Amino acid sequence: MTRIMRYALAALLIGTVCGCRYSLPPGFVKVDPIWDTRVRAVSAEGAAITLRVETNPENGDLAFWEKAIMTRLVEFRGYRLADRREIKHGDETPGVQMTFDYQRDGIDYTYVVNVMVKGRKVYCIEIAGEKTDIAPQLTAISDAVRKWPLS
Amino acid sequence: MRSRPQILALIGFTWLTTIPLLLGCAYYGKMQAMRAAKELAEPPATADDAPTAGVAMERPLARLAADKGVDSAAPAAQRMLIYTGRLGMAVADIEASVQATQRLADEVGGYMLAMSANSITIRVPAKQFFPILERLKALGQTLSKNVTAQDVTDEYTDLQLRLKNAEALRDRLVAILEKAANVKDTLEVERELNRVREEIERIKGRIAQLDKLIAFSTIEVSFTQAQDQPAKIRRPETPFPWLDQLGVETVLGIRG
Repeated sequence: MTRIMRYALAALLIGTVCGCRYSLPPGFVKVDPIWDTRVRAVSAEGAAITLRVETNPENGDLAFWEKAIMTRLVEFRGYRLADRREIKHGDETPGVQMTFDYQRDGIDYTYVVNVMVKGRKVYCIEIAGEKTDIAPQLTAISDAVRKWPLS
Repeated sequence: MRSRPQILALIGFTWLTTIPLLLGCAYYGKMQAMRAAKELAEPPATADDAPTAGVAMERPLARLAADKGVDSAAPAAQRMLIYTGRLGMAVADIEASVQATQRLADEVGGYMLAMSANSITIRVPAKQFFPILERLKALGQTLSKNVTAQDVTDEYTDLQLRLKNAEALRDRLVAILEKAANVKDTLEVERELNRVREEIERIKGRIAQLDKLIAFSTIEVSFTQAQDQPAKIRRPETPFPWLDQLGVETVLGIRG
């Protein structure tokens, strides 16, 4: 019984530590991930952030994923690229941040995707929200998610 | 002092000797240009042929390109091409797209040539032509794309030869003018000299015009509202289905 309690305590500790690893921007709370995302956080206004970790095939590099994402969103889905910049995630992992404008049902949205490649994993951090709501918070959100661990 | 018939005979003699010479030069020049273009188009098959390739770069076309300050590594250095591109795009925000296109041109050292509410024509350095076309695709959905390259190599070579010959003729006429015996002869030679000078200016003007057209490529972009266009169903299957989950709907949990 003591052993079971020790395991439970250890699991609780690990869970707590893991949960705190993802620093959230002001006004966001962590919620259960949906679809295949690993982390999800939402704001009271309805903006959301997700982290997705996928398998990176052999020879898959940053340029490949940037082009794949760009093609999917711009060519097939009607997103408009508003900004594109190279970033350093956590001050070491190179990545690309693409900011898109998107319109759906007459509402203007801003959608940001940060893509990073590390070994056999590709990481996508997505940020989305109504353009007017998210615009003032975008810098703070970007700064916060850039510290998220890639593991 | 020479008599009038002597002057006229001298002009006639000059024409008779110059015209075959001009025709001969033009033909020789054209043959040289064609040979050079052929050699440039066919790289050496073996290592032994390598020196020949080096010599080929010294052939008239390559030398001409080098004289004009064109990068010899670029295809335009071998053939003198004037690029023009026309894009039709469906975009969410036409005004923003027009401005973004102008910014792109400014960014690479180009400029805006014409602009309207839903279209823009830009001119960009020739080296930036294809990169800019690629970057413009990110503005929205490409509905049409048309790229043309006008080869002006032959015209350029001909102009250079005609200029050289016309300048030689001008020099000879100046020499004749100095020997003219009376006012009438002087006027006749001067009339001919003026005609040749005008021809030289015309050739120089056309060469300058071609230089500008070769150095800067033109891109015309017409924008239409994305919603007004029928959706293009073109979604090839991907081995990465998660790419289709990316986007506003998934992140925000929007259904439908």
